[in-house]
Amino acid sequence: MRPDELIAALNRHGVKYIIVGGFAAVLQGAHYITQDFDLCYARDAANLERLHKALERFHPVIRPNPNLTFDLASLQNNENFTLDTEVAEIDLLAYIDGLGDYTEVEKYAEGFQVRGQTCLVLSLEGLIKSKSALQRRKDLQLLEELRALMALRQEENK
Amino acid sequence: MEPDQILLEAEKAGVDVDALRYNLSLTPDQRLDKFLKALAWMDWAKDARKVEHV
Repeated sequence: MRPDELIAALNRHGVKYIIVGGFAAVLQGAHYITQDFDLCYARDAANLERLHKALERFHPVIRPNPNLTFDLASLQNNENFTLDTEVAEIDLLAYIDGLGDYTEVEKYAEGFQVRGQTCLVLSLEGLIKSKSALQRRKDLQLLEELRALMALRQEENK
Repeated sequence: MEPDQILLEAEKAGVDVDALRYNLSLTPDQRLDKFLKALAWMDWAKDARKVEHV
């Protein structure tokens, strides 16, 4: 996984995105391993173009059907993608369970500085809301971690 | 629930609270480094194969 390159490309093209899911949890301090880079993105026409331009240099292939092409038309016609790229396995999500679309998710986003790049990352509160809504067995341990991280932050602020 | 109670419950559920406390003391860059190192170890382990022991 080469998240630095991905974040730099998204920023260079001015894409409106928020890092969500397991990778956001890692940046927030979770003791967690994930192979996926989950992004929530805005669905306006200009952003779809910017997103497509930012990702095309990493030769994205749509999973589970590698015969489908990741082009602007596919972005316009579909909301969620799982992509294999040269830099990461990326989940593109237009909607986050428990939160909503990009505009709603943005309310729970925090600015982070990572390797000289500024990006929006889903907050602990947002992560807890989204993971609670999913009710997936695999998220339960992460949910416990996120609640503990929140409690540790509250202790720090006392 | 109070934070100390939440932490107690988390520990009971198997969460390594000390590891989280340590992570919170790191910068986002350091958290990313730590994560990428762990990921590299996982990739390395994935390539490991059993061989005949002589």
